[in-house]
Amino acid sequence: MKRLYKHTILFLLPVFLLVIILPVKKRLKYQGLENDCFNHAIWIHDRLYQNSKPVDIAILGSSRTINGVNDKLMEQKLEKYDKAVVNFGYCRLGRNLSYTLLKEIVKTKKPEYLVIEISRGEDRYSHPVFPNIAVTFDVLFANPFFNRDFLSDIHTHISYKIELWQEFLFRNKPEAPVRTSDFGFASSADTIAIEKLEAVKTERSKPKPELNKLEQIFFMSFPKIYLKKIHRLCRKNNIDILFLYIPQYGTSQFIPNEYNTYIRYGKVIFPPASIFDNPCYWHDDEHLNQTGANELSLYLVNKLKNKYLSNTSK
Amino acid sequence: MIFNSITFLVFFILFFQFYWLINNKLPLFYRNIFIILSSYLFYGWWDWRFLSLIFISSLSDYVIGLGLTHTQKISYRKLLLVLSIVINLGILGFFKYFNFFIGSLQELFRLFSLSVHTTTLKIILPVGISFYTFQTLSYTIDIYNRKIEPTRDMASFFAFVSFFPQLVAGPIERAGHLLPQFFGKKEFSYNFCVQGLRLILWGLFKKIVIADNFGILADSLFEIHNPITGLTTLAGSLFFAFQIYADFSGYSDIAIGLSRMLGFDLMKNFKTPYFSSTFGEFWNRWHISLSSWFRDYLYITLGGNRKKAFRVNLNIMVTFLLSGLWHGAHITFLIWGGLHGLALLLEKRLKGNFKKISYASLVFIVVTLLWIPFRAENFNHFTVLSKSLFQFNSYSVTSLCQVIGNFSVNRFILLIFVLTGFLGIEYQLKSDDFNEWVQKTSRFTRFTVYYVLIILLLLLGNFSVKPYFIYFQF
Repeated sequence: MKRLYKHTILFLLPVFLLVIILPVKKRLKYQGLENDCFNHAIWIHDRLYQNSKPVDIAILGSSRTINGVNDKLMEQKLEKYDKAVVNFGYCRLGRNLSYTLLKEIVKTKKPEYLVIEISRGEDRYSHPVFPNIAVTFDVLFANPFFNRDFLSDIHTHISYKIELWQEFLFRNKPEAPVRTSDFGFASSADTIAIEKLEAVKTERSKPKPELNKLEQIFFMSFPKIYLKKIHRLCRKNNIDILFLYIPQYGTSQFIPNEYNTYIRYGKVIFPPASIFDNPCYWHDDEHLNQTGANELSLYLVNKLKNKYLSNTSK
Repeated sequence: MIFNSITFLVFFILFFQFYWLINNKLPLFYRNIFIILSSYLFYGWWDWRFLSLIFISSLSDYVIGLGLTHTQKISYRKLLLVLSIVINLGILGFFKYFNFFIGSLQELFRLFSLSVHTTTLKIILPVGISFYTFQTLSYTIDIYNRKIEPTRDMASFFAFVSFFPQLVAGPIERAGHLLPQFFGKKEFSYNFCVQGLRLILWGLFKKIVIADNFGILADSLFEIHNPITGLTTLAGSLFFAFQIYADFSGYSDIAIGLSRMLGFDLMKNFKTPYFSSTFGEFWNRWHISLSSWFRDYLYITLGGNRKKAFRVNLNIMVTFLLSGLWHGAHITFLIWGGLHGLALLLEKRLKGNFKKISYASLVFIVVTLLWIPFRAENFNHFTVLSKSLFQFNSYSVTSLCQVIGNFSVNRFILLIFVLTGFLGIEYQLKSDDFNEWVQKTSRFTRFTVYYVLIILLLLLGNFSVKPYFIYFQF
């Protein structure tokens, strides 16, 4: 049987290596996600690689960040400090995407602050677009333990690479026009009906079974590994980490489960509950609307001004 | 869990390792138990609730099989056989045909301006039910006909029914061939494994390169909302012909390859059917395990060709209609089966009037056109497609060019080259199978073939679509 394994591996090795070393144009990787998250990926790429404007305060998170932090407003309010603020939020959860995007950010820009969205709990799984965007090394050497998606991520990464190659060979699809916008914030002015919010709040305020110690170790190891990597990368590049609490509606009173981890790596910012408890500030039960986002952004601006940027005005 | 998915790859690597470990170190019973548990995991991956069906089917036929040996009384034996048929076809009928018959009944009453209140049920079709039902049914019928002896080894029998490589889409094995293979220990063979891997590679190539690509083209051409012209229907049926053959025979090759890696030998399910020179030959080469099942257990039971001409013709028609219905509870499958039956009857009368080569071409054309009812979404779609063939003024190339353009012209040209090569190899395989053919070539040619197949898989494979095999729905 050893002979069979040896010969199979030797036979497949050149194919595997070929797929691994197959170069793919970075922009195509982001462009390929055009049907996902309002085509936000290509904008992220262009903001980093095609837009020479610096990034001083980078904000990473999920769609709650995209909808909840008005980077344009923040930049205007921080004009005195000459700080370029960019919302790099991307729909859905998964810490490994934050790490991948941070790597791209530090490669192209020199941010001073990294604001990372946190909520009641950490998501325990890999981000769905991590294998599409991440470099092969990061996918292959992602921690296989505590990582449900390790193999499927490798599969997705390889098949996505092949798909991009096929696109390149057969389609001659024109490259998407360069996205010139400086800001990533996108929100809706609509407000959700109060009754709907109240129903959700009642549901969410019910006590949920807490993870026991073992489960905590098992499920939280994956996001914690990436938080550690983010911290290490930030330290190497002199970037301060600020964890910004953006909860779902009805959960503003909860302390994040991983609070102790966050305080080890950076400062934790808890915006006042009055923002998150105000039903007029919500587009749906997960995302703030424009008014809510402006409130949250102004709070963040003040926090930054008072606590972190006080000595750096121009 | 589908053969061309990452989940299955992990499953099989683990299974393979433990299978040989258990086979070599522990008594046979444990190996068969391991096969059953793994096969149930494989099947339960779709929906664990359906495991009860396979369990009931296995248990009832195991008990009935034993019952058949305990009595020589014909009436009692008949009763047991009927019981087995009722249980197996009852399960199959309920899950597959209940709504079809209720719907047909309503239509029938409507014809006579009568209205009846009937209820259709929301039934999910258990994957592969038609395959394993026919397999276990053949076991009791063969015991009844005294062709085989029943087994007392429950683990072997359950493993025979649930053996995962061929559980959901065949080949539909006969107990006489497969069951005894569970009775003995297996000897690991490097060569057998290599043969299996070759067949798996060939099957994956057929499925991923040929079937999936022609599937995209056929789906676009048969799209109900697109303008349907005679040319799109003709092209659609041709592309579907390549799709369904490569899809199903690819699955069978993978199933045979996997089994070979485990030391099992499964029957051949396809022998280059599109190179058949008669309709009769086509049915000896297409889905052999099902065609021979219907021949042995239905056609011959009805009297076969030992009766008078009218009765023989009737037997052929009944066999083909039921074979059509086996594929699904739709009138379109009945039409497909019926038309194939008619083609066979006509062949019996007219064959002598054609030259061999022109008749073989005619067989291919008719078989291809008969995929139209098989592929049609419903009866209305079938009538629209059929009508389009006769509207000669609407034979425009615009829609076809548009579909090929959307697919990518470069990719289509490469696909046609690959298809030509594929058909060339298939022609060689008329007498050999892929293994035998490859083994005859030099080492250099052999490895070139392997790597070309892999490169084509990478170049033309559609990896982002959800893995799916056409015959799973049957």
